Amino acid sequence: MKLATHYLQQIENVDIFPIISLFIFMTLFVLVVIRAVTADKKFIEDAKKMPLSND
Amino acid sequence: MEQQTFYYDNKIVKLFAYATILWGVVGLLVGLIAALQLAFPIFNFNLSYVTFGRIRPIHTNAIIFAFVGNAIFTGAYYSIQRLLKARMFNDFLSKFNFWGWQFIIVSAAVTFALGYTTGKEYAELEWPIDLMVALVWVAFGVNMIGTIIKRREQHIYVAIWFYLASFLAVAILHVVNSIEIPVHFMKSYIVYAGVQDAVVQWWYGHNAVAFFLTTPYLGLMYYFLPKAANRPVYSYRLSIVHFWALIFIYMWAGPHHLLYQALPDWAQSLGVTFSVMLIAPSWGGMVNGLMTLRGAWDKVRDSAILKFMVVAVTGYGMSTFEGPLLSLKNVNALSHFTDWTIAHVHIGGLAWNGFLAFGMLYWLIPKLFRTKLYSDKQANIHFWLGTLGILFYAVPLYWAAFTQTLMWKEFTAEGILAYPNFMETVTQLIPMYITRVLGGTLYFTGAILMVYNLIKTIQSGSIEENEEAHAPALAETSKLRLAGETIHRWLERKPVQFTIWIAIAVIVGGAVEIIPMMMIKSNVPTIESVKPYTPLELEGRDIYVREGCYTCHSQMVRPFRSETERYGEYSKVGEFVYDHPYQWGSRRMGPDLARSGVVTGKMYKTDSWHFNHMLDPRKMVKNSMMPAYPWLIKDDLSTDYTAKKISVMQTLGVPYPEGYAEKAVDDLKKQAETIAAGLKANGIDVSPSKEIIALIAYIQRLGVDITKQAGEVKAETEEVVIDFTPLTDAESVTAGEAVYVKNCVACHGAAGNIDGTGLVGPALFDTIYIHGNTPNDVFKVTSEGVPAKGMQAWKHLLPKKELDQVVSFVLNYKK
Repeated sequence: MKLATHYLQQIENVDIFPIISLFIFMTLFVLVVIRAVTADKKFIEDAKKMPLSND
Repeated sequence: MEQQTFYYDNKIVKLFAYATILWGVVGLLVGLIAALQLAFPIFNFNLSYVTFGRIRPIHTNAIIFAFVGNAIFTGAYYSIQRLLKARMFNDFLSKFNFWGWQFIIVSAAVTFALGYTTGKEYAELEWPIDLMVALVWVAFGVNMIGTIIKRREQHIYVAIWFYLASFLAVAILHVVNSIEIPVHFMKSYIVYAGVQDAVVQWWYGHNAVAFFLTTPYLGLMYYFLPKAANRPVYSYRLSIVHFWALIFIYMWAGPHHLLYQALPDWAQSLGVTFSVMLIAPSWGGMVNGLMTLRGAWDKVRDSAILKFMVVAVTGYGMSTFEGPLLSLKNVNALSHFTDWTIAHVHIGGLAWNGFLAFGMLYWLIPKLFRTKLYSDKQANIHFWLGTLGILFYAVPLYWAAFTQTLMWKEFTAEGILAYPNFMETVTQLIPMYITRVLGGTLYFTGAILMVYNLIKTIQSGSIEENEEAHAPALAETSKLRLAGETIHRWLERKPVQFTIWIAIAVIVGGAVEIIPMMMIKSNVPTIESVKPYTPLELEGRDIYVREGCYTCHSQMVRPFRSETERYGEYSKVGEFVYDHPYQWGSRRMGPDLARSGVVTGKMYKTDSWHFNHMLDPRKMVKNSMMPAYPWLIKDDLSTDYTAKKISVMQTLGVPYPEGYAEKAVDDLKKQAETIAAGLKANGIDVSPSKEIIALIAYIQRLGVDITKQAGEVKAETEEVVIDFTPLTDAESVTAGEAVYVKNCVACHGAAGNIDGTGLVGPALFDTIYIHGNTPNDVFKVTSEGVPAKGMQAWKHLLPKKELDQVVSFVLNYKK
């Protein structure tokens, strides 16, 4: 724990952390939305029925 | 393709279902006892094992980890096998998961009752049980991932993504929040101190709600709701988006539990922002659940199972809307430390977790036992009892929360607290607490009805423990991406890579929140005057943790005028650097104790007051709901581990001098003798070796380090000039009596009392006053107080008019 603390203390402007993270999240979110929207229709229909198809 | 024959393991599902039912009943019953204790303190039975401070963690852990935990395993073990068309990976792991989990539950209940706790909410288990939890949890994960790898279905359905995310996140949370150094077999100190501990704890606490009570349940919803409604989920695309958004954002929102508390601003803002963003993915889940029933709402009328599920999903939507609302700083200023939080979690717990589990059991048990539900009518009655129970539970608690927070914050026209006596704000809540017991009883009765109904169902059918099934083997596909295959789809059929991506999403948020906290220098400014606890205070602190005092008392004065007026100087980050664990608390059933040791402060009480109060709280504070703690006075303090505790603290960086551990017990005894001698001078004969002495030492230490010396304050009050003539009109004297009864009785005895024995303050109705007999003398001592002895400066607590009246009442009383 001390080892990590020591090096982290050297970082200036720690508040950049949340901003970077927000950016990472937005990027990921946009990618996921694009993937979901462009997903193959047949695949989506098949996946949807999975809980019902077997027993 | 060749058809393969395999067998679903139904026996493990059955076992988990039985455990869900059993622990559900137990957890609800313990909750009912806790509710009774708050309405009627007699239900604490003066018995250490069942006081509220120990019952409350038993209740919360029983509901979260025993009832909901077993419900998750029930649903997961049933749906994983069917969605992947494979038996569970390993039968031994399944059994180990089941029996290990039940063993943990029993150990938890026993150790909590015995007072073994780490004092961190929802993570109270001591280190040997923590290790066991980690082991069993990993067994579950390996079993699940193993099944995914040997599956006979190409695509991994969204329910399983949720189970995977839950497994990974809970594993990480549990490990990070349980890094502790053992003192002995059943005692350890957490490595984090003060504000760091608080951030780690609420990062854990918040995400325990997220990844134990929410994501696995969304998995259950995505499987059992389509099953019960017999139609596919509304939008699979929406489920993809809301899955990734939910698991990514949840991890960041933890600091919203610590708003306006001693936490750096950037962390608070981060918590608020991400909490508000959470509404979107949460409602994505709710919309997907409810819309699955579009065009089929007529089915809901006939099916108790769907009724349970609809209310569950609606409850999920309500509490995930309320959660972000409570995370706004202006709402949180009002809601925090009140019953609002309790009401909020019970909407989630009773509706979302409880009702979804009930709905699932009503669907699953007849299915497993190849029969029909014994009585649909009883299931419907259960539904209505449960729904009414939720309303009778939640509505009074919201009412209680608004009442209390407004009373705490109300000031009179003169600018002093309208309700300076904390007890007044609690007494108001008792009728609401009685109604809550009614709500809990209704809900509990419904659950009992379900047990009967399910037992009858089980008796009428028979289970096939290894159910035969057929499916073609999974075709070998290239490990590489196929032409035309999207990245997400490719990932989904690669379980290991998929798992790693989920882990990354979960870790990023946690890291962003916690790593900067470790940078003590910029985020935790140290305060020169804050010193480590003495050995006696440390032992007293461990008693405070053992008895679960933090379940009702906070140690965190927020920077509001209403709080600094009531409790004293607001809390600073640097005050808590030696607190392993932190004890800020989350609910004020009793007043804040952060400044209880400040002799000149508003919260100060003498040693003898504390002694009598622990023995019988209602003797000192009329209507108090606090349990009595007679065993603290009877039991000897064990000093067997004092030296070890000091050296563990040294390992954690608490600056005791080198070699202090050996001298610790001597110092402890010296301090204990001083306190016992002080009590003796006040007519209380108690051996210095008793536990109560340590607890008093700890309480009297709180807030002392950062407060200026008593002498400095005294100097200011010397010069006050008093010009007081007693009022004599009957109206004022009667009004004065009312003021006396409300504020003075606790320390000075009933009106007319002339015998000072057993009282905290001197009797006031004899003829001699310690600080002078003239009206001016009596008025001055009342108005300015005698800080050294614990008499408050009542000019800060009562309007001038009432002050005049009460002094007049005392002086006019026929002696």
